[in-house]
Amino acid sequence: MTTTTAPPAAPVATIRRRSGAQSAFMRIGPAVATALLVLIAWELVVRGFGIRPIFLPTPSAIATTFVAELPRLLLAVWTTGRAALLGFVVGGVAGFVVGALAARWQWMREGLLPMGVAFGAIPIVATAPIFNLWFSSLSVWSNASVVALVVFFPMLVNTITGLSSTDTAHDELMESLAAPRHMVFTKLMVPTSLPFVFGALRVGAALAVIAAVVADFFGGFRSSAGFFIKTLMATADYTGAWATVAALCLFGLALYGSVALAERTLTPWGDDG
Amino acid sequence: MTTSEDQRAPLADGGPSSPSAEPADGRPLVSVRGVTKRFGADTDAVTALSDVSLDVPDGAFWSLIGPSGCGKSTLLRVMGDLIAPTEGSVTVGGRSAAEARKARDYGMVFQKPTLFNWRTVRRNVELPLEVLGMPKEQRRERAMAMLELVELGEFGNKRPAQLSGGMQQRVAIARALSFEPSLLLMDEPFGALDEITRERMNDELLRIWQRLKTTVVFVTHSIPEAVFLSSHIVVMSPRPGRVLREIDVDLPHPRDESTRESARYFELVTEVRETLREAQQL
Ligand SMILES: Nc1ncnc2c1ncn2[C@@H]1O[C@H](COP(=O)(O)OP(=O)(O)OP(=O)(O)O)[C@@H](O)[C@H]1O
Ligand SMILES: [Mg+2]
Repeated sequence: MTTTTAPPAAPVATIRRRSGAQSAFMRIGPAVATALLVLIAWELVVRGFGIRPIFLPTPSAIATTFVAELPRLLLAVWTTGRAALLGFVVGGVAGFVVGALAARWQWMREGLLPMGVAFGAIPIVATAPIFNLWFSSLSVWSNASVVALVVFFPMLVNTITGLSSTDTAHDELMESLAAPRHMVFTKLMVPTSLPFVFGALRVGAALAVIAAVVADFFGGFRSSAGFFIKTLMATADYTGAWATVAALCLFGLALYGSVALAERTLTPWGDDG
Repeated sequence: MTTSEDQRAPLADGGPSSPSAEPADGRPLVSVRGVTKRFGADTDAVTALSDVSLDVPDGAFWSLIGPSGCGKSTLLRVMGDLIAPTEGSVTVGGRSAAEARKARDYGMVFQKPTLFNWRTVRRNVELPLEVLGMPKEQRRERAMAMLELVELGEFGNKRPAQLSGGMQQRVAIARALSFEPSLLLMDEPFGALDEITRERMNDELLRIWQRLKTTVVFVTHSIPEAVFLSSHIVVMSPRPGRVLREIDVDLPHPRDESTRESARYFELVTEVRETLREAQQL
């Protein structure tokens, strides 16, 4: 007799892990299914209506080009992705540090919070040429700075909000224990802020890739994804351009996925409901 | 094991009002002297407490009872140095409330369990010990012992969210006791529990108190709870909170289910109830 259910005496950890894997599948499953459906519909529509590749190539054509051009695509994603990653890390860390300082001094918080929100609304296209001017346009820092700026402000705002959103009762508990300020920070404020910080990181991961590609269009490396797309469009290689976009998509997904994974690992209490 | 260290200077007897005749250990650990607390600006100020004086003896279990809004929590917070009195003073073992707090004399249990949901149950109990800088191994051992004490030994690795409200409150009690504070301040810790669970928790708290001999000041709305737990009950008047009457509870220890069915218990419950009813009519 075979049975697939766990024996009743199975250790709690096993059950937990299984339900964890199950819930992860439940989360990703619908997204993957939807993506597949869209791709199939896309393929059928393009073929069925005979849409010309100039307007919209089929996903299968894009995939073929993707595989054929893989080395060049990898270089393009690497060039752009490097700036995105670098800017993501620098902007994220800077946003958290400045946010932490602001949470410590009220005048700084009151000054920075509205400014952070306002600056967060600046379109990156406006800053890209400026950074190109400041740094050598052939330095990775030129594009990384654009990215860092885009990631910085959401992180700043969320860190300030997160660090100051501690429960009053928790504050009183720490006060009743006469906990020194640095312990209040590390043991109460930082853990409280983590969901906010990860929120900013998730937004930042998406923005970082967009910012890096937009910055590519304002000069910089010839091997970059943005430059690559521009060139391919000029030579009417639309399928190639789409393949580059697809490669960027995958990179963005990987970055976002890493953040989500880190969030699940570092804030496991969020799952307890 | 925790209280009555010799460094605590005995306080001068005979304060301005009612140095309550408490037989237990004699000398007061906590001395509240003419405490008045006003909230807000002059014109629309709320007087929460008016000239409250109390002497809580070392090792005693005192309850504060009174109508909602009469300033019980405020008094407890003044005692714990979480807010400053407008007038008057609080001393704990001869020290000011502020000094006592900095010396980690207070274990506080709030109405809500106020656990850190990002920590396991055991690490929640370890929190005060971390603040005190106790080494990791010792900390862990102590936390486990405390969890055993509140009968949650198997739940150390759970998250607070996986525990019931009553269990969470027991964790909060274990946390408050973990560093052996000389004074336990509890603000309606069982207010959110059903009657039966509350009685079970009362039994358990009393058992722990008898074992550790910590001084407890306990705020409650529940008359039976106050009578069952306390060695002494302070009945407060509606706002502005004043001490209306102090009632000694002479029920013998150990107290259990038969205590709750004894004639003396009913007498005391009635006495407190009548005092509270008079208070409402003031
Ligand atoms: N921080 C505050 N600012 C202004 N007023 C306050 C503050 N804290 C308490 N009060 C007021 O002081 C009075 C006493 O409040 P307190 O919380 O001490 O009452 P309580 O006896 O604990 O009531 P309950 O039994 O409902 O918990 C109330 O009128 C309340 O509105
Ligand atoms: Mg209260």
